[in-house]
Amino acid sequence: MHLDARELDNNTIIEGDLCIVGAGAAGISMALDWNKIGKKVILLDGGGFEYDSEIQDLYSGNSTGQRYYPLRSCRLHLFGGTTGHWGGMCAPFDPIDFKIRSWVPDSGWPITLDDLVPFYSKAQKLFELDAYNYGLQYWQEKYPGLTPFPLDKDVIWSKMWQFSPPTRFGKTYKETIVKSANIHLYTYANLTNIVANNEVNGIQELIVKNHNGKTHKVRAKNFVLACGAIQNARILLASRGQAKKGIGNDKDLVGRYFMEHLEVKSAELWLKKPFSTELYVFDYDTRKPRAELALTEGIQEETSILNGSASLTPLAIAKQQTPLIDVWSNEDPRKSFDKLIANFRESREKNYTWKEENGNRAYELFTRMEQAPNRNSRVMLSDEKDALGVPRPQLHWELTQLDKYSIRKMYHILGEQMGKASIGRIKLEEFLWDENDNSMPDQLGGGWHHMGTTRMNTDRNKGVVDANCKVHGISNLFIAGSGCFSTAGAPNPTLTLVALSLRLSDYLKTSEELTIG
Amino acid sequence: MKRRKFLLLSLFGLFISLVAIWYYKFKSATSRDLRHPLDLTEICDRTTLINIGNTYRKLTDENNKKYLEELLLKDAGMNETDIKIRLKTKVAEDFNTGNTILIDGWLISITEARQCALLSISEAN
Repeated sequence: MHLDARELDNNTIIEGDLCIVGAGAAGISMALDWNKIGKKVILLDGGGFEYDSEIQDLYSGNSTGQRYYPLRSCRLHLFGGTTGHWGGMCAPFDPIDFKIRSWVPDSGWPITLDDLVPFYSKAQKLFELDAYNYGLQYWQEKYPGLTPFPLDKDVIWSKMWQFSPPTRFGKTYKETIVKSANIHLYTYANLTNIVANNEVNGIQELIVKNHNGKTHKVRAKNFVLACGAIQNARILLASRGQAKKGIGNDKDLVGRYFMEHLEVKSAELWLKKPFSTELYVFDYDTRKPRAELALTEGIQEETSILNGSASLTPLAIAKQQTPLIDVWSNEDPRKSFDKLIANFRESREKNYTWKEENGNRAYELFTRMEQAPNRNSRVMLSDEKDALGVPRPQLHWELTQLDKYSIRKMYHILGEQMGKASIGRIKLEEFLWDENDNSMPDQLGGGWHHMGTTRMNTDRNKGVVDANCKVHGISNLFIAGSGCFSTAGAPNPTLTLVALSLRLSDYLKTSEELTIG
Repeated sequence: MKRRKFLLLSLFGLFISLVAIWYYKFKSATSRDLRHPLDLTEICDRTTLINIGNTYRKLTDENNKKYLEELLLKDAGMNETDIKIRLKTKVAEDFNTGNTILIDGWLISITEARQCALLSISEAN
């Protein structure tokens, strides 16, 4: 069922069993999981089914620290969320991502990869992916041409990726949601305030508004915030009616530990002889799985570095590409997206000869690495307010010495392995030459991946949510999405955030059954 | 007697000439091998190799042809094939033991860096 909150009478009270705020990848996945199960699910989205500049403007904000994309265009504010323009890259986290690592401060999740595996399998289907299998051998049986470099397996492994079509949740699942009898989708319902009880141990209602001047109240047994890591933190911090520092923020953790992926051109790989790199190079036509060069758990531990991987692009193409941080500079996400696509397309069109018959000899190595958890990297509130009266977000993206050290070390290891195998040599980018230089170049961009502002930890002094994504100290408020990540992992977060949201969904269903029983 | 002496002297002269030719050829081949890192030559052009060599000489005190040759020839055999194999092995050992260096962004073995240094010296001369 779909209702436009602009058309409702002012001060309407909306009631249900479960209220999910945000209809992006996390919110829609959860709502679909509750379809046809006899519970009234309220799904709120601030926007509608089409792009609306006035709605998108609610995401505007400023940033300091490491150079970053405009906050206004980082996420899409409409039904389907950022799946409306995402690239579809999917890979699960590695076992090490969940572990406590002595060399990574504040690392460790209260759950393991095994806890997520059943939900990864479910998430695969939502993204229209193949089976939940990321082993090289599995894919080699389907594509015999996938040959890895003959490198030491104790040091380097092939991290496999699958590619979603990419599924646009707003289009693919609209009909199911709108036709559902128990899912009540409200568009143009922007959350502006979370109202807690006097003890601040439970949520009473949400206040939602729109540009038409309508204000409504939403009441439910349980509430799930699924608005993205920046917006979730923002609304928790801005809801100060009962909690002076904001909801769930009595330990001053909400908004902290903001993480992105460190994505930057880092080196060139020069092979002695052409080698078939079908395994590594992205095929725009077939979108078949590919691998990135990744370091094993043992080597990460031995060298005390973060988890990351390197992707290969033929150098002839890569040299034509502008760094993503320079491409995605427009406040309008549609214009930035168009520039991004043009950047990729033109670089290929300018180089008809890049596809050498027996493979290429020179490649760009592009880093994709987790950012070390950092308390000072954070989302705060600005003094400026948006059109609906909510303080705008202020992002301070701060990187650490460990981040830079890890990128440099990863390429030293890759270089040594290439030399050891007598395959070729690696040439590092200039920003990695000086071992005493801990700064990051302006060309470093994130992956538009916002993580960690409501991090998960069993100890309420160390995390905002517990292992079930419930906000510590509040009985009926949950967070869905990558804001709950304790560490960022190396892969893009979408598959994992949906798996985690489906796990939360499962927990809520079980809790409902327990309550009824 | 005179004829016999003449023959002996001729043979001796021929021997000396052969030794000289062999030594010249060996030295020339050795010198060529020493200043041409095998793998790296397949990857980088001559200018890049010379630049690497120049930077290496500035970074270290290994700026002397004789000294560099000594370092590279240490434990090497006496024929061309031995030297080639020995240098290849040395490069592999460098990568195995982490005896590498970053020069102008290139992560290469110390042996390769020394070979480039020799090349840059010969080029300068």
